[in-house]
Amino acid sequence: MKRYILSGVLTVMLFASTSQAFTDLQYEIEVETSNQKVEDNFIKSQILFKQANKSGLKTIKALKETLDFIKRVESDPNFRECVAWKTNMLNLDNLADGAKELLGKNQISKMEYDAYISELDQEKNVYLKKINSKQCK
Amino acid sequence: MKNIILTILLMSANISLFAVELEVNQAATSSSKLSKIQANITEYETIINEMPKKLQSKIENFERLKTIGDKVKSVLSDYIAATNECIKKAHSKIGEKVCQDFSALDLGKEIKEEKDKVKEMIVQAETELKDVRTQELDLPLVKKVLESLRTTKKMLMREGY
Repeated sequence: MKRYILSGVLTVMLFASTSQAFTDLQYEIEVETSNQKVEDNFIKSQILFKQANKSGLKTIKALKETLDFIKRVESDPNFRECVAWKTNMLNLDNLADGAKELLGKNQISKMEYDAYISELDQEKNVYLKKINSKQCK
Repeated sequence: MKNIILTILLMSANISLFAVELEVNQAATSSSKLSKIQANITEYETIINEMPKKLQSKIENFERLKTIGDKVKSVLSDYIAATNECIKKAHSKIGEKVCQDFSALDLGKEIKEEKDKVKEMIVQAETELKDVRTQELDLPLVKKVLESLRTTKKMLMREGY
């Protein structure tokens, strides 16, 4: 009888200690996983801080340039003229790109394309001369 | 004699009862300390874990502001080019109509509004950047405090609380 009681008590003690060890191990694993997650996010944040700083500075610089542009446009007629010429030149480039696309799709002939591009180039040269003569910056 | 022994017994029983009470109080204090430490650990872990998402959103906002600024510049350039063409005078009836419609628009007011908008965007971007920089300085501090709290927690747990 005594032996049964003793083995029963020992079994309960063994079960209790195994269960405790298992709980401890589970807790350790949970802590380790959580620590790793924090570590990963910390490193990720360090990289993103650099990117955010760079992006922020770039944005502020661009916005200040835009503000200067608006102020100059409002106050300086010569600058306004320069902007108009430069924009027209950009539009001519866009037209040239469009013509190239049409040529690629065989919707216009090579001859038509060349003639159109030469017209655009002439117009561009007029604007270039104007821009240079006014020393647009 | 009996009375003396009884008094000593009662006194020692009282002392041991007081000691047990003290131990229970101490355990309760340590347990509340542990739960407070755990609450702080959770709070600081959340701050660090949510930081990449926050920064990503800040970067996206910077990009958005830059795109709006660029768009304002481009729209304004187109407007100036169109005005310049209309000043040179239109060549046909449709040209005249287009230029009349164009001059009827209060674009001067639009430009002023755009200027104010850009100014506001600069202030917003500067505030956001300042926020990024202060958080960049504080995050290592949060991590150090977190590590220290974890060590304290481990120590308290080893002590059996």
